[in-house]
Amino acid sequence: MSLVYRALRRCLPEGAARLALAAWYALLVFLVFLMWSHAPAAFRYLEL
Amino acid sequence: MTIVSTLFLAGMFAIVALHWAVPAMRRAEFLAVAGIASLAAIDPASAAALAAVTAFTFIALQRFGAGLRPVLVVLFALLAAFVLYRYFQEPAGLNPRGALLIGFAFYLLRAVHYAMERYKGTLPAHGWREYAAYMLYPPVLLVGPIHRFGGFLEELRNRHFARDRFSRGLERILHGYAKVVVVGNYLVSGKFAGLVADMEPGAAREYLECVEYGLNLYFQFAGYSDVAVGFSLLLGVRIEENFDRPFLRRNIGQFWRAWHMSLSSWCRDYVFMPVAALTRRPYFAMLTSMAVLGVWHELSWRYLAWGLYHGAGIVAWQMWRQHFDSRLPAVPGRGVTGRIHEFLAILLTVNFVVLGFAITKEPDLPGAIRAYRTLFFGG
Repeated sequence: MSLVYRALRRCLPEGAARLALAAWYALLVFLVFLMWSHAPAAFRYLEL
Repeated sequence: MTIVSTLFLAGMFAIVALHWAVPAMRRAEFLAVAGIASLAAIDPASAAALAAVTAFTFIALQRFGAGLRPVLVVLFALLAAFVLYRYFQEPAGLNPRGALLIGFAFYLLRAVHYAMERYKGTLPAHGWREYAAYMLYPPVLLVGPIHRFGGFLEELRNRHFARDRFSRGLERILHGYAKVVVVGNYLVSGKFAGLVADMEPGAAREYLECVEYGLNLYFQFAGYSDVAVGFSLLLGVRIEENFDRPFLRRNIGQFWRAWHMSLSSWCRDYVFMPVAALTRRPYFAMLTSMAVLGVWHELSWRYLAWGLYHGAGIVAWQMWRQHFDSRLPAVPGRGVTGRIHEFLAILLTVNFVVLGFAITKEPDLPGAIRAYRTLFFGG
């Protein structure tokens, strides 16, 4: 079971938790898509 | 090669789809072939190095047995390969181009783990296909986690397609990408770093540069690890975690059990334990273990200093616990006093770690000394 869904279920009824989970995923997908081509930061572990 | 590319995404989902399409008894070979083929597509030299380390370790231990002498020869060869690689990797070394093999330092740790566990006789019976699948496992090729052979083999043999595991894998991948792209690249390295760069030079700016360096490292690395763990869950295999909310830990010992856990547990098992057993000096073993952890990142004075800084921190905390903890009045775990105590403990640990980043964010040790001078004396 999704960890986010489990956290949401602690404070929301099932239907609302499912809706909030879908909204959370949609928000993340949107933000990742929006910032996908933003200049990547240096990450030295890729050079190990 | 970063995970923020359509090529990586396409490759990851192609491997997952083909993996479940391949007959169950051929999946181990498929994973090995997929790992080496995807690496060869990015960088043939890295694929050749990985294939050489994989074949050498297995053939040497198979041919000469897993007694003390063959294992020592294998360990020495792996160490020599690591030192040579680090030497050639340096742009100022013999190779002006600076050789870069993708994930090389990670393969060597996996190979050492395999050789040591073969020597201890803890590995379950297995063939070269399963060993190759372990060493060439696609999700961990870029930056780990450094997974363990025994647990991996059990997962590999018992895996089956499970909807719950698959959906958790997709969720981990999404969270990983959000950490790397949104928080790491955009918020921390873009916006936060921009604000810090606009500040007047001085202690506050130096401190915030350390914070920015640490946050960027954490979100990038935790994000990459999430994607690796999620990718592995899509293949039906649960692997080791690398992070467990490290910046919410109450002491430096706990921090290292929550930050790059697959590396710190490797150092505990293959450096700390043997050195402690041989010398009967746990503090010395801890310093050695953290020094190795430091120079694994880079053969340089600054990384040695960084490793010793954390080693000294852990030793100091352990000495404190041993000598003073029992003499001081116990702090209640709950209530306002307990919460204040916990908050202060976390604050102290976080600041110890953040101040340590002053060593690694600078290109050399004199730079780190200048950074400390600015931090503590303002110039």
